[in-house]
Amino acid sequence: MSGSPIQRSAPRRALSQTVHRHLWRNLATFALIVVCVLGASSVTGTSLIDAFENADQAADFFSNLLHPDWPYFAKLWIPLLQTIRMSVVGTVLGLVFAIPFAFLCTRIVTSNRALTAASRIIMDIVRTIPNLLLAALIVAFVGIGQVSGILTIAIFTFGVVGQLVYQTIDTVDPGPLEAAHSVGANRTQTAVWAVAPQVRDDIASYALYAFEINIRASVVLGYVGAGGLGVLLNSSLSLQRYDRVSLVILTVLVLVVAVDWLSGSIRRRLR
Amino acid sequence: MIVLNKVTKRYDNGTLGLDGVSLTVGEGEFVAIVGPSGAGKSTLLRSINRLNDITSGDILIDGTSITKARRREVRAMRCSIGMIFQQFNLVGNATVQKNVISGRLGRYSTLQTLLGLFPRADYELVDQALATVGLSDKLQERSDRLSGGQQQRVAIARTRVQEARILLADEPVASLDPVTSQTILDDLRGINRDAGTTVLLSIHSVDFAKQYASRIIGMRAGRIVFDGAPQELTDDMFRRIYTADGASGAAVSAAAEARAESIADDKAESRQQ
Repeated sequence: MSGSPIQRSAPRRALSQTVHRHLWRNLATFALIVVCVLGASSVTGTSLIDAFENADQAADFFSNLLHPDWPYFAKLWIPLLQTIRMSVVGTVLGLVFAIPFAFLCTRIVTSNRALTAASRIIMDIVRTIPNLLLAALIVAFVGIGQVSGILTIAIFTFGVVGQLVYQTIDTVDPGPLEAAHSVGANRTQTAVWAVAPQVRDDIASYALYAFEINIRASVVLGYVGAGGLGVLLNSSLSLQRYDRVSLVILTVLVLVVAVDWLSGSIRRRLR
Repeated sequence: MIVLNKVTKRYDNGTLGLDGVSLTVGEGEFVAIVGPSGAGKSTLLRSINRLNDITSGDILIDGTSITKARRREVRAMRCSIGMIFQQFNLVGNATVQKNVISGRLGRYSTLQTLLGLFPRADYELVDQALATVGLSDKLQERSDRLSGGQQQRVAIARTRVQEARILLADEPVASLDPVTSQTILDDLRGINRDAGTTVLLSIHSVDFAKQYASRIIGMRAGRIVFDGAPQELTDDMFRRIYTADGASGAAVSAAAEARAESIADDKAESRQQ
Protein backbone atom coordinates (compact mmCIF):
# COMPACT_ATOMS: atom_id res chain seq x y z
CA MET A 1 0.00 0.00 0.00
CA SER A 2 3.00 2.22 -0.21
CA GLY A 3 1.88 3.76 -3.52
CA SER A 4 -1.60 4.96 -2.48
CA PRO A 5 -0.69 8.13 -0.53
CA ILE A 6 1.19 9.38 -3.55
CA GLN A 7 -1.80 8.73 -5.80
CA ARG A 8 -4.17 10.60 -3.48
CA SER A 9 -1.92 13.57 -3.18
CA ALA A 10 -1.22 13.74 -6.95
CA PRO A 11 -2.59 16.88 -8.59
CA ARG A 12 -5.62 16.67 -10.85
CA ARG A 13 -4.50 16.36 -14.45
CA ALA A 14 -5.79 18.36 -17.36
CA LEU A 15 -7.76 16.27 -19.86
CA SER A 16 -4.95 16.65 -22.40
CA GLN A 17 -2.60 14.85 -19.99
CA THR A 18 -4.77 11.73 -19.75
CA VAL A 19 -5.68 8.88 -22.05
CA HIS A 20 -8.82 10.87 -22.94
CA ARG A 21 -6.86 13.65 -24.51
CA HIS A 22 -8.84 13.47 -27.77
CA LEU A 23 -12.24 13.32 -26.03
CA TRP A 24 -13.70 16.50 -27.57
CA ARG A 25 -12.45 15.70 -31.02
CA ASN A 26 -13.84 12.17 -30.82
CA LEU A 27 -17.23 13.43 -29.64
CA ALA A 28 -17.31 15.92 -32.50
CA THR A 29 -16.49 13.16 -35.00
CA PHE A 30 -19.28 10.99 -33.61
CA ALA A 31 -21.76 13.88 -33.82
CA LEU A 32 -20.72 14.51 -37.40
CA ILE A 33 -21.35 10.86 -38.32
CA VAL A 34 -24.83 10.97 -36.73
CA VAL A 35 -25.66 14.14 -38.67
CA CYS A 36 -24.42 12.53 -41.89
CA VAL A 37 -26.57 9.40 -41.39
CA LEU A 38 -29.71 11.38 -40.54
CA GLY A 39 -29.04 13.81 -43.36
CA ALA A 40 -28.51 10.99 -45.85
CA SER A 41 -31.71 9.24 -44.88
CA SER A 42 -33.78 12.43 -45.17
CA VAL A 43 -32.26 13.32 -48.54
CA THR A 44 -32.84 9.86 -50.00
CA GLY A 45 -36.26 9.58 -48.40
CA THR A 46 -35.54 6.39 -46.47
CA SER A 47 -36.70 5.94 -42.97
CA LEU A 48 -35.20 3.63 -40.39
CA ILE A 49 -38.63 3.42 -38.77
CA ASP A 50 -40.12 2.03 -41.96
CA ALA A 51 -37.44 -0.59 -42.05
CA PHE A 52 -38.38 -1.77 -38.57
CA GLU A 53 -42.14 -1.55 -39.16
CA ASN A 54 -41.79 -3.94 -42.08
CA ALA A 55 -40.11 -6.47 -39.86
CA ASP A 56 -42.75 -9.11 -40.62
CA GLN A 57 -41.82 -8.95 -44.29
CA ALA A 58 -38.22 -9.51 -43.33
CA ALA A 59 -39.34 -12.40 -41.13
CA ASP A 60 -41.17 -13.92 -44.09
CA PHE A 61 -38.04 -13.51 -46.20
CA PHE A 62 -35.86 -15.14 -43.61
CA SER A 63 -38.25 -18.01 -42.91
CA ASN A 64 -38.25 -18.78 -46.64
CA LEU A 65 -34.51 -18.52 -46.68
CA LEU A 66 -34.40 -21.09 -43.89
CA HIS A 67 -36.46 -23.50 -45.95
CA PRO A 68 -34.57 -24.01 -49.17
CA ASP A 69 -36.40 -25.55 -52.09
CA TRP A 70 -34.17 -28.64 -52.24
CA PRO A 71 -35.76 -30.31 -55.29
CA TYR A 72 -34.93 -27.15 -57.23
CA PHE A 73 -31.30 -28.34 -57.22
CA ALA A 74 -32.15 -30.56 -60.20
CA LYS A 75 -32.39 -27.38 -62.27
CA LEU A 76 -29.42 -25.79 -60.58
CA TRP A 77 -26.52 -28.02 -61.35
CA ILE A 78 -26.25 -27.18 -65.04
CA PRO A 79 -25.92 -23.41 -64.34
CA LEU A 80 -23.53 -24.38 -61.55
CA LEU A 81 -21.31 -26.19 -64.02
CA GLN A 82 -21.64 -23.22 -66.37
CA THR A 83 -20.38 -20.92 -63.64
CA ILE A 84 -17.39 -23.14 -62.99
CA ARG A 85 -16.67 -23.50 -66.69
CA MET A 86 -16.91 -19.75 -67.26
CA SER A 87 -14.43 -19.16 -64.47
CA VAL A 88 -11.98 -21.81 -65.63
CA VAL A 89 -12.01 -20.84 -69.29
CA GLY A 90 -12.01 -17.12 -68.51
CA THR A 91 -9.13 -17.42 -66.06
CA VAL A 92 -7.01 -19.49 -68.42
CA LEU A 93 -7.74 -17.16 -71.35
CA GLY A 94 -6.84 -14.12 -69.24
CA LEU A 95 -3.59 -15.74 -68.07
CA VAL A 96 -2.52 -16.66 -71.59
CA PHE A 97 -2.58 -12.97 -72.51
CA ALA A 98 -1.53 -11.57 -69.14
CA ILE A 99 1.78 -13.41 -68.73
CA PRO A 100 3.54 -12.37 -71.97
CA PHE A 101 2.08 -8.90 -71.62
CA ALA A 102 3.42 -8.59 -68.06
CA PHE A 103 6.93 -9.10 -69.46
CA LEU A 104 6.37 -6.11 -71.74
CA CYS A 105 5.49 -4.05 -68.66
CA THR A 106 8.94 -4.39 -67.13
CA ARG A 107 12.17 -2.72 -68.18
CA ILE A 108 14.14 -5.70 -66.91
CA VAL A 109 13.28 -7.57 -70.07
CA THR A 110 12.42 -4.89 -72.62
CA SER A 111 14.76 -2.13 -71.38
CA ASN A 112 12.61 0.19 -73.45
CA ARG A 113 11.03 2.99 -71.48
CA ALA A 114 8.31 3.86 -74.02
CA LEU A 115 7.16 0.27 -74.56
CA THR A 116 7.04 -0.35 -70.82
CA ALA A 117 5.10 2.84 -70.11
CA ALA A 118 2.60 2.16 -72.89
CA SER A 119 2.04 -1.43 -71.76
CA ARG A 120 1.50 -0.34 -68.17
CA ILE A 121 -1.04 2.29 -69.20
CA ILE A 122 -3.00 -0.30 -71.17
CA MET A 123 -2.99 -2.64 -68.20
CA ASP A 124 -4.00 0.14 -65.81
CA ILE A 125 -6.94 1.10 -68.01
CA VAL A 126 -8.11 -2.50 -68.26
CA ARG A 127 -7.92 -2.86 -64.49
CA THR A 128 -9.90 0.29 -63.69
CA ILE A 129 -13.04 -0.80 -65.56
CA PRO A 130 -15.42 -2.26 -62.96
CA ASN A 131 -16.33 -5.89 -63.53
CA LEU A 132 -20.03 -5.35 -63.84
CA LEU A 133 -19.66 -2.46 -66.25
CA LEU A 134 -17.32 -4.57 -68.35
CA ALA A 135 -19.87 -7.40 -68.37
CA ALA A 136 -22.69 -5.02 -69.34
CA LEU A 137 -20.60 -3.64 -72.21
CA ILE A 138 -19.66 -7.09 -73.46
CA VAL A 139 -23.23 -8.35 -73.22
CA ALA A 140 -24.23 -5.36 -75.33
CA PHE A 141 -21.63 -6.29 -77.94
CA VAL A 142 -21.64 -10.09 -77.87
CA GLY A 143 -25.09 -10.80 -76.56
CA ILE A 144 -26.48 -12.66 -73.55
CA GLY A 145 -24.74 -15.89 -72.68
CA GLN A 146 -21.68 -17.62 -71.36
CA VAL A 147 -19.34 -16.21 -73.97
CA SER A 148 -19.89 -12.76 -72.50
CA GLY A 149 -19.14 -14.10 -69.04
CA ILE A 150 -15.96 -15.78 -70.23
CA LEU A 151 -14.74 -12.64 -71.98
CA THR A 152 -15.48 -10.49 -68.94
CA ILE A 153 -13.59 -12.83 -66.65
CA ALA A 154 -10.71 -13.10 -69.12
CA ILE A 155 -10.29 -9.32 -69.33
CA PHE A 156 -10.62 -8.93 -65.58
CA THR A 157 -8.03 -11.67 -65.01
CA PHE A 158 -5.73 -10.05 -67.54
CA GLY A 159 -5.78 -6.78 -65.58
CA VAL A 160 -5.34 -8.24 -62.11
CA VAL A 161 -2.85 -11.03 -62.81
CA GLY A 162 -0.92 -8.92 -65.32
CA GLN A 163 -0.18 -6.30 -62.71
CA LEU A 164 0.75 -8.82 -60.02
CA VAL A 165 3.07 -10.62 -62.41
CA TYR A 166 4.86 -7.55 -63.67
CA GLN A 167 5.40 -6.32 -60.14
CA THR A 168 6.90 -9.70 -59.29
CA ILE A 169 9.15 -9.59 -62.35
CA ASP A 170 10.38 -6.16 -61.28
CA THR A 171 11.66 -7.64 -58.03
CA VAL A 172 13.44 -10.75 -59.34
CA ASP A 173 17.10 -11.33 -58.52
CA PRO A 174 19.00 -9.56 -61.33
CA GLY A 175 22.01 -11.88 -60.93
CA PRO A 176 20.76 -14.74 -63.11
CA LEU A 177 19.71 -12.20 -65.77
CA GLU A 178 23.23 -10.88 -65.83
CA ALA A 179 24.58 -14.40 -66.13
CA ALA A 180 22.24 -15.05 -69.07
CA HIS A 181 23.37 -11.84 -70.77
CA SER A 182 26.99 -12.81 -70.21
CA VAL A 183 26.61 -16.07 -72.18
CA GLY A 184 25.12 -14.17 -75.12
CA ALA A 185 21.42 -14.83 -74.53
CA ASN A 186 18.97 -12.40 -76.15
CA ARG A 187 16.03 -10.74 -74.40
CA THR A 188 13.51 -13.51 -75.02
CA GLN A 189 15.99 -16.18 -73.96
CA THR A 190 16.78 -14.23 -70.79
CA ALA A 191 13.07 -13.86 -70.04
CA VAL A 192 12.40 -17.56 -70.50
CA TRP A 193 15.58 -18.95 -68.92
CA ALA A 194 16.39 -16.50 -66.14
CA VAL A 195 13.18 -14.63 -65.26
CA ALA A 196 10.41 -17.17 -65.79
CA PRO A 197 11.80 -19.80 -63.39
CA GLN A 198 12.05 -17.15 -60.69
CA VAL A 199 8.41 -16.06 -61.02
CA ARG A 200 6.89 -19.44 -61.92
CA ASP A 201 5.56 -20.31 -58.46
CA ASP A 202 4.23 -16.80 -57.91
CA ILE A 203 2.35 -16.89 -61.20
CA ALA A 204 0.74 -20.21 -60.27
CA SER A 205 -0.28 -18.70 -56.96
CA TYR A 206 -1.77 -15.61 -58.62
CA ALA A 207 -3.62 -17.78 -61.12
CA LEU A 208 -5.33 -19.68 -58.31
CA TYR A 209 -6.08 -16.44 -56.49
CA ALA A 210 -7.65 -15.03 -59.67
CA PHE A 211 -9.70 -18.21 -60.04
CA GLU A 212 -11.05 -17.76 -56.50
CA ILE A 213 -12.12 -14.20 -57.27
CA ASN A 214 -13.56 -15.22 -60.62
CA ILE A 215 -15.78 -17.91 -59.14
CA ARG A 216 -17.36 -15.26 -56.92
CA ALA A 217 -17.48 -12.71 -59.70
CA SER A 218 -19.08 -15.10 -62.18
CA VAL A 219 -22.12 -15.41 -59.90
CA VAL A 220 -22.68 -11.68 -60.01
CA LEU A 221 -22.05 -11.59 -63.74
CA GLY A 222 -25.15 -13.72 -64.29
CA TYR A 223 -27.09 -10.67 -63.19
CA VAL A 224 -26.29 -8.79 -66.37
CA GLY A 225 -27.03 -11.83 -68.48
CA ALA A 226 -23.63 -13.41 -68.67
CA GLY A 227 -24.88 -16.91 -67.84
CA GLY A 228 -24.41 -19.22 -64.89
CA LEU A 229 -25.91 -19.24 -61.39
CA GLY A 230 -26.44 -15.50 -61.33
CA VAL A 231 -29.23 -15.79 -63.90
CA LEU A 232 -31.20 -18.08 -61.56
CA LEU A 233 -30.46 -15.87 -58.58
CA ASN A 234 -31.81 -12.89 -60.46
CA SER A 235 -34.97 -14.61 -61.69
CA SER A 236 -35.73 -16.23 -58.32
CA LEU A 237 -35.38 -12.87 -56.58
CA SER A 238 -37.70 -11.12 -59.01
CA LEU A 239 -40.26 -13.91 -58.61
CA GLN A 240 -39.86 -13.58 -54.82
CA ARG A 241 -39.10 -17.30 -54.59
CA TYR A 242 -36.87 -16.86 -51.54
CA ASP A 243 -36.76 -20.59 -50.95
CA ARG A 244 -35.00 -20.88 -54.30
CA VAL A 245 -32.83 -17.84 -53.61
CA SER A 246 -31.79 -19.62 -50.47
CA LEU A 247 -30.72 -22.71 -52.35
CA VAL A 248 -28.76 -20.66 -54.90
CA ILE A 249 -26.98 -18.78 -52.13
CA LEU A 250 -26.18 -22.03 -50.33
CA THR A 251 -24.82 -23.54 -53.53
CA VAL A 252 -22.66 -20.50 -54.18
CA LEU A 253 -21.43 -20.61 -50.59
CA VAL A 254 -20.44 -24.28 -50.85
CA LEU A 255 -18.78 -23.67 -54.21
CA VAL A 256 -16.79 -20.65 -53.01
CA VAL A 257 -15.66 -22.35 -49.82
CA ALA A 258 -14.65 -25.47 -51.76
CA VAL A 259 -12.69 -23.50 -54.34
CA ASP A 260 -11.00 -21.34 -51.69
CA TRP A 261 -10.00 -24.39 -49.72
CA LEU A 262 -8.72 -26.21 -52.78
CA SER A 263 -6.70 -23.33 -54.17
CA GLY A 264 -5.50 -22.36 -50.71
CA SER A 265 -4.12 -25.83 -50.08
CA ILE A 266 -2.44 -25.92 -53.49
CA ARG A 267 -0.93 -22.48 -52.96
CA ARG A 268 0.45 -23.49 -49.58
CA ARG A 269 2.15 -26.41 -51.24
CA LEU A 270 3.74 -24.11 -53.83
CA ARG A 271 5.72 -22.27 -51.18
CA MET B 1 43.85 -11.57 -76.98
CA ILE B 2 42.16 -8.74 -75.12
CA VAL B 3 43.26 -5.17 -75.82
CA LEU B 4 41.99 -2.18 -73.87
CA ASN B 5 42.85 1.16 -75.39
CA LYS B 6 42.50 4.26 -73.14
CA VAL B 7 39.25 2.99 -71.68
CA THR B 8 37.31 5.43 -69.52
CA LYS B 9 34.06 4.69 -67.79
CA ARG B 10 32.12 7.43 -66.07
CA TYR B 11 28.95 6.32 -64.29
CA ASP B 12 25.74 8.35 -64.49
CA ASN B 13 26.30 9.63 -60.96
CA GLY B 14 29.66 11.09 -62.01
CA THR B 15 31.88 8.44 -60.43
CA LEU B 16 34.90 7.59 -62.53
CA GLY B 17 35.00 3.79 -62.76
CA LEU B 18 37.90 3.51 -65.19
CA ASP B 19 40.29 6.36 -65.92
CA GLY B 20 42.15 5.89 -69.20
CA VAL B 21 43.03 2.23 -68.76
CA SER B 22 45.22 0.61 -71.44
CA LEU B 23 45.97 -3.06 -71.14
CA THR B 24 46.83 -6.08 -73.26
CA VAL B 25 46.13 -9.61 -72.07
CA GLY B 26 47.53 -12.45 -74.17
CA GLU B 27 46.05 -15.83 -74.98
CA GLY B 28 46.17 -18.27 -72.05
CA GLU B 29 47.27 -15.80 -69.38
CA PHE B 30 46.01 -16.08 -65.81
CA VAL B 31 45.66 -12.49 -64.63
CA ALA B 32 44.63 -11.49 -61.13
CA ILE B 33 43.35 -7.96 -60.58
CA VAL B 34 43.80 -6.67 -57.06
CA GLY B 35 42.97 -3.36 -55.43
CA PRO B 36 40.71 -1.76 -52.81
CA SER B 37 36.91 -1.75 -53.11
CA GLY B 38 35.77 0.77 -55.69
CA ALA B 39 39.10 0.71 -57.54
CA GLY B 40 37.35 -0.36 -60.76
CA LYS B 41 38.12 -4.08 -60.81
CA SER B 42 34.52 -5.12 -61.51
CA THR B 43 34.02 -2.26 -63.94
CA LEU B 44 37.06 -3.42 -65.88
CA LEU B 45 35.83 -7.02 -66.11
CA ARG B 46 32.27 -6.04 -66.95
CA SER B 47 33.50 -3.70 -69.68
CA ILE B 48 35.28 -6.54 -71.43
CA ASN B 49 32.03 -8.44 -72.14
CA ARG B 50 30.13 -5.15 -72.26
CA LEU B 51 27.85 -5.85 -69.32
CA ASN B 52 28.50 -2.16 -68.86
CA ASP B 53 29.18 0.27 -71.67
CA ILE B 54 32.30 2.41 -71.56
CA THR B 55 32.37 6.19 -71.96
CA SER B 56 35.41 6.42 -74.23
CA GLY B 57 38.23 4.28 -75.57
CA ASP B 58 38.01 0.91 -77.25
CA ILE B 59 38.10 -2.74 -76.27
CA LEU B 60 39.18 -5.38 -78.79
CA ILE B 61 38.62 -9.09 -78.38
CA ASP B 62 40.84 -11.01 -80.80
CA GLY B 63 41.03 -7.93 -82.97
CA THR B 64 37.29 -7.20 -83.05
CA SER B 65 35.94 -4.18 -81.21
CA ILE B 66 33.20 -5.13 -78.74
CA THR B 67 32.70 -1.44 -78.05
CA LYS B 68 31.57 -0.71 -81.60
CA ALA B 69 29.76 -4.01 -82.16
CA ARG B 70 26.00 -4.07 -82.70
CA ARG B 71 23.82 -5.83 -80.19
CA ARG B 72 23.65 -9.05 -82.20
CA GLU B 73 27.41 -9.06 -82.68
CA VAL B 74 27.93 -8.44 -78.97
CA ARG B 75 25.86 -11.52 -78.21
CA ALA B 76 27.92 -13.57 -80.64
CA MET B 77 31.14 -12.33 -79.01
CA ARG B 78 29.83 -13.07 -75.53
CA CYS B 79 29.43 -16.73 -76.49
CA SER B 80 33.18 -17.09 -76.17
CA ILE B 81 33.51 -14.98 -73.00
CA GLY B 82 32.45 -16.78 -69.87
CA MET B 83 31.77 -15.00 -66.60
CA ILE B 84 31.41 -16.04 -62.99
CA PHE B 85 30.21 -13.80 -60.20
CA GLN B 86 30.58 -13.27 -56.48
CA GLN B 87 26.93 -14.18 -55.91
CA PHE B 88 27.10 -17.18 -58.33
CA ASN B 89 24.01 -15.89 -60.18
CA LEU B 90 22.36 -19.25 -60.70
CA VAL B 91 18.62 -19.58 -61.13
CA GLY B 92 17.84 -20.91 -57.67
CA ASN B 93 14.75 -22.97 -58.41
CA ALA B 94 16.09 -24.44 -61.61
CA THR B 95 18.09 -27.67 -61.68
CA VAL B 96 21.87 -27.80 -61.91
CA GLN B 97 21.54 -29.28 -65.38
CA LYS B 98 19.37 -26.38 -66.54
CA ASN B 99 21.78 -23.83 -65.13
CA VAL B 100 24.79 -25.45 -66.74
CA ILE B 101 23.23 -25.99 -70.15
CA SER B 102 22.14 -22.34 -70.19
CA GLY B 103 25.78 -21.63 -70.99
CA ARG B 104 24.87 -22.54 -74.57
CA LEU B 105 21.89 -20.21 -74.90
CA GLY B 106 23.75 -17.73 -77.07
CA ARG B 107 24.44 -20.33 -79.74
CA TYR B 108 20.89 -21.25 -80.72
CA SER B 109 17.80 -19.54 -82.04
CA THR B 110 15.23 -18.18 -79.63
CA LEU B 111 12.64 -20.75 -80.67
CA GLN B 112 15.04 -23.63 -80.24
CA THR B 113 15.94 -22.61 -76.69
CA LEU B 114 12.33 -21.76 -75.89
CA LEU B 115 11.46 -25.38 -76.54
CA GLY B 116 14.65 -26.54 -74.85
CA LEU B 117 15.90 -28.37 -77.96
CA PHE B 118 19.57 -28.90 -77.20
CA PRO B 119 21.63 -31.40 -79.18
CA ARG B 120 22.70 -34.60 -77.48
CA ALA B 121 26.32 -33.42 -77.58
CA ASP B 122 25.39 -30.52 -75.29
CA TYR B 123 24.07 -32.88 -72.64
CA GLU B 124 27.37 -34.78 -72.89
CA LEU B 125 29.23 -31.50 -72.36
CA VAL B 126 27.15 -30.79 -69.26
CA ASP B 127 27.96 -34.22 -67.81
CA GLN B 128 31.66 -33.78 -68.51
CA ALA B 129 31.77 -30.27 -67.08
CA LEU B 130 30.02 -31.38 -63.89
CA ALA B 131 32.44 -34.28 -63.59
CA THR B 132 35.44 -31.92 -63.70
CA VAL B 133 34.03 -29.91 -60.79
CA GLY B 134 33.01 -33.06 -58.92
CA LEU B 135 29.25 -32.49 -58.99
CA SER B 136 28.09 -35.33 -61.25
CA ASP B 137 25.67 -36.56 -58.59
CA LYS B 138 23.91 -33.19 -58.40
CA LEU B 139 22.68 -33.12 -62.02
CA GLN B 140 18.95 -32.92 -61.22
CA GLU B 141 19.26 -31.16 -57.86
CA ARG B 142 17.69 -27.71 -57.42
CA SER B 143 20.66 -25.38 -57.47
CA ASP B 144 19.59 -23.38 -54.39
CA ARG B 145 19.88 -26.58 -52.35
CA LEU B 146 23.65 -26.56 -52.91
CA SER B 147 26.25 -24.90 -50.72
CA GLY B 148 27.93 -21.68 -51.82
CA GLY B 149 31.05 -23.45 -53.00
CA GLN B 150 29.03 -26.01 -54.94
CA GLN B 151 26.98 -23.25 -56.55
CA GLN B 152 30.15 -21.51 -57.70
CA ARG B 153 31.35 -24.79 -59.16
CA VAL B 154 28.07 -25.09 -61.07
CA ALA B 155 28.77 -21.60 -62.44
CA ILE B 156 32.24 -22.75 -63.46
CA ALA B 157 30.73 -25.80 -65.18
CA ARG B 158 28.46 -23.39 -67.04
CA THR B 159 31.45 -21.54 -68.47
CA ARG B 160 33.07 -24.86 -69.42
CA VAL B 161 29.93 -25.84 -71.32
CA GLN B 162 29.98 -22.42 -72.91
CA GLU B 163 33.41 -23.37 -74.31
CA ALA B 164 34.60 -19.87 -73.60
CA ARG B 165 38.03 -18.71 -74.77
CA ILE B 166 38.10 -16.04 -72.08
CA LEU B 167 36.87 -16.36 -68.51
CA LEU B 168 36.05 -13.30 -66.43
CA ALA B 169 35.81 -14.07 -62.72
CA ASP B 170 34.45 -11.18 -60.69
CA GLU B 171 35.33 -11.76 -57.01
CA PRO B 172 34.43 -15.45 -57.32
CA VAL B 173 35.61 -16.38 -53.83
CA ALA B 174 34.70 -13.23 -51.89
CA SER B 175 31.77 -14.91 -50.15
CA LEU B 176 33.39 -18.29 -49.61
CA ASP B 177 35.56 -19.74 -46.86
CA PRO B 178 39.32 -20.10 -47.48
CA VAL B 179 39.28 -23.85 -48.11
CA THR B 180 36.39 -23.67 -50.57
CA SER B 181 38.05 -20.65 -52.16
CA GLN B 182 41.08 -22.77 -52.87
CA THR B 183 38.94 -25.43 -54.58
CA ILE B 184 37.30 -22.79 -56.77
CA LEU B 185 40.63 -21.25 -57.71
CA ASP B 186 42.00 -24.73 -58.45
CA ASP B 187 39.07 -25.23 -60.83
CA LEU B 188 39.87 -21.92 -62.54
CA ARG B 189 43.49 -22.93 -62.86
CA GLY B 190 42.30 -26.24 -64.32
CA ILE B 191 40.29 -24.43 -67.01
CA ASN B 192 43.28 -22.20 -67.70
CA ARG B 193 45.66 -25.15 -68.03
CA ASP B 194 43.72 -27.80 -69.89
CA ALA B 195 41.71 -25.59 -72.22
CA GLY B 196 44.18 -22.73 -72.52
CA THR B 197 41.40 -20.36 -71.52
CA THR B 198 42.50 -16.82 -70.68
CA VAL B 199 41.43 -16.05 -67.11
CA LEU B 200 40.89 -12.58 -65.68
CA LEU B 201 40.19 -12.77 -61.99
CA SER B 202 39.40 -9.94 -59.60
CA ILE B 203 40.20 -10.89 -56.05
CA HIS B 204 40.66 -9.32 -52.64
CA SER B 205 43.21 -11.75 -51.31
CA VAL B 206 46.66 -10.81 -52.55
CA ASP B 207 47.99 -14.11 -51.21
CA PHE B 208 45.66 -16.05 -53.48
CA ALA B 209 46.53 -13.72 -56.36
CA LYS B 210 50.23 -14.45 -55.91
CA GLN B 211 49.60 -18.16 -55.54
CA TYR B 212 47.51 -18.63 -58.67
CA ALA B 213 48.13 -15.86 -61.17
CA SER B 214 50.86 -15.63 -63.79
CA ARG B 215 50.42 -11.88 -63.83
CA ILE B 216 49.04 -9.38 -61.32
CA ILE B 217 47.41 -6.07 -62.06
CA GLY B 218 46.96 -3.57 -59.23
CA MET B 219 44.22 -0.99 -59.54
CA ARG B 220 43.48 2.15 -57.58
CA ALA B 221 40.89 4.83 -58.33
CA GLY B 222 40.17 3.53 -61.83
CA ARG B 223 43.81 3.33 -62.88
CA ILE B 224 46.33 0.55 -63.24
CA VAL B 225 49.08 1.25 -60.72
CA PHE B 226 50.87 -2.09 -60.92
CA ASP B 227 51.28 -4.60 -63.70
CA GLY B 228 53.80 -7.38 -63.37
CA ALA B 229 54.72 -10.88 -62.30
CA PRO B 230 53.61 -12.08 -58.85
CA GLN B 231 57.15 -11.96 -57.46
CA GLU B 232 57.43 -8.29 -58.44
CA LEU B 233 54.55 -7.39 -56.16
CA THR B 234 56.58 -6.32 -53.15
CA ASP B 235 55.15 -5.21 -49.82
CA ASP B 236 55.97 -1.67 -50.79
CA MET B 237 54.04 -2.04 -54.04
CA PHE B 238 51.18 -3.64 -52.16
CA ARG B 239 50.92 -0.60 -49.88
CA ARG B 240 50.92 1.72 -52.83
CA ILE B 241 47.93 -0.11 -54.29
CA TYR B 242 45.97 -0.21 -51.10
CA THR B 243 46.62 3.06 -49.26
CA ALA B 244 44.22 5.94 -49.90
CA ASP B 245 43.61 7.65 -53.19
CA GLY B 246 43.83 11.10 -54.77
CA ALA B 247 46.22 13.89 -53.76
CA SER B 248 46.75 12.69 -50.19
CA GLY B 249 47.76 9.26 -51.49
CA ALA B 250 51.46 10.02 -51.59
CA ALA B 251 51.50 11.53 -48.12
CA VAL B 252 49.53 8.63 -46.66
CA SER B 253 51.71 6.03 -48.30
CA ALA B 254 54.82 7.86 -47.11
CA ALA B 255 53.41 7.79 -43.59
CA ALA B 256 52.61 4.11 -43.97
CA GLU B 257 56.14 3.44 -45.12
CA ALA B 258 57.54 5.32 -42.15
CA ARG B 259 55.31 3.31 -39.86
CA ALA B 260 56.40 0.07 -41.51
CA GLU B 261 60.03 1.06 -41.09
CA SER B 262 59.58 1.84 -37.42
CA ILE B 263 57.87 -1.49 -36.94
CA ALA B 264 60.78 -3.16 -38.69
CA ASP B 265 63.17 -1.23 -36.43
CA ASP B 266 61.26 -2.32 -33.36
CA LYS B 267 61.49 -5.91 -34.47
CA ALA B 268 65.19 -5.56 -35.09
CA GLU B 269 65.65 -4.04 -31.63
CA SER B 270 63.64 -6.75 -29.92
CA ARG B 271 65.73 -9.33 -31.72
CA GLN B 272 68.92 -7.70 -30.48
CA GLN B 273 67.62 -7.75 -26.92
